[in-house]
Amino acid sequence: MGGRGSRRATSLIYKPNMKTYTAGSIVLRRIDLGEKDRIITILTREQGKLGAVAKGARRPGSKLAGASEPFTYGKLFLSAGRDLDVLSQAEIKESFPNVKQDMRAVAYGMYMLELTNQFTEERNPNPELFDTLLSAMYILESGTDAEITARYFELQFLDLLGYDPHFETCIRCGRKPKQGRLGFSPSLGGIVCDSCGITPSDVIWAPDAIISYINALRRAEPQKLKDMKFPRGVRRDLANILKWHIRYRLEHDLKSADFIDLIAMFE
Amino acid sequence: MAGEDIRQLFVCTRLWKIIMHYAKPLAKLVGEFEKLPGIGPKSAQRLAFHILRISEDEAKALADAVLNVKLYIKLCPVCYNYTDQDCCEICSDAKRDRSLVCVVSEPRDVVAMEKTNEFRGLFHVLGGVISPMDGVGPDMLKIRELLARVGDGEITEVLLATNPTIEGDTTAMYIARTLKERGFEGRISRIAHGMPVGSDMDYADQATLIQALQWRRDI
Ligand SMILES: [Zn+2]
Ligand SMILES: [Zn+2]
Repeated sequence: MGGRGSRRATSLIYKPNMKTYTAGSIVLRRIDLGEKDRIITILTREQGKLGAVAKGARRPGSKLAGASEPFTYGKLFLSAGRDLDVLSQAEIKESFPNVKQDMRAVAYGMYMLELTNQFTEERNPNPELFDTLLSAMYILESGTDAEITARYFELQFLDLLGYDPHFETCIRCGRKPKQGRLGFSPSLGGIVCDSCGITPSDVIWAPDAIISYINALRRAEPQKLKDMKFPRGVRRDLANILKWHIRYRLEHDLKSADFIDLIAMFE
Repeated sequence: MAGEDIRQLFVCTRLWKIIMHYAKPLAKLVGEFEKLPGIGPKSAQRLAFHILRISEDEAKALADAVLNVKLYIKLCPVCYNYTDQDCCEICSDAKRDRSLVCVVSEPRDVVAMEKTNEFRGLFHVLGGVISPMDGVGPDMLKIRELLARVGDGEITEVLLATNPTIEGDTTAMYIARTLKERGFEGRISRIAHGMPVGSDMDYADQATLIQALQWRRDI
């Protein structure tokens, strides 16, 4: 961006015209750049995750302002740059107004975006993952409970990346756990039973009833999510198990989870 | 920055001889300018050489201005806007409507609102917006201080004028919810109309901002 970069740009190397392309994109993140510009991190269906500069996006009246907002789905016109691509035009497909008027939905929506951003590498396309995120955004927009939507998304998302937590049988012995309580080990990525050796030190205990809820959630048709009711205890246990499972894989927590915990006091 | 680079910029050899002795201070100044937001190496050099050309008095005035900002500017203990007094001019102005407080994220938004000449209430500067993905939570902003102010009972309307972005809206929703939770019975309004989604408040033209003020809605 700075002076050193422009020196290189004026070199005598022949460059054909900048490659321009359009991409269906979800804005995952944005940061302000200088006085008027923004850098956005987008997930595209075709090119995977990438960074782009939206010049003048912070000025009112800029056609890029709304399109560079996180949690927005749009058709973006980009040109390939050296480090970051440049956003030249944008067409908003969906800005998810219902989500943005609901603090709890925003909190879980941001969480889904951060999860996606943290687990994906740049320019490593995964169309299925893109579709999964976009579907979850529409599910949230339709008024489905934000927490259930986020858990539904998490399970699908982790499955797509090969990090799906194993709940059906004991990850060590393969047997169905006995009735009562079950233990989930984040390091092993699944449940462990009492009867097959030493219990891992990181195990999280939960009532075994949670398994039927997880299976129902995994198999649910998106339109059925609205009717699903999860008791408070199940929600808490499931959130806790997935939090530790994700923490073990990412080696850190998701920042947006703090805000979710904070606004829980309003419930 | 190496002396060689500076030399390249100085075609005038006579001037170069003078600068030779000061190469280190000059390099230091260029380095300091480069740290400023929006200033690249080229601009930093240009500024440094400009300082070389101005008189000693002008240079001293600039240096004093920089230092005085650090020495005398502090946050108003009431509204958290910048001030050089114990209490800022707006907060100590008897003619302002003390029942109405406008909540903004940055001091520069106060300037934008003041330019409209339409708003006669007081301000409260949060010092940012809630940004969950960046780990900026309500406790890092002056929200607790706002609640305390409102709790004093004089305020009957809280106008939430954070940017119309996802973070600005979330901050407004969080404050509105918290105020209601604390039993605030006055009006809670949100600056709205005419402000395009995703834009920065302080870049809005006056007409847009005046319209946004008049069309505020309850939240
Ligand atoms: Zn076992
Ligand atoms: Zn003040």
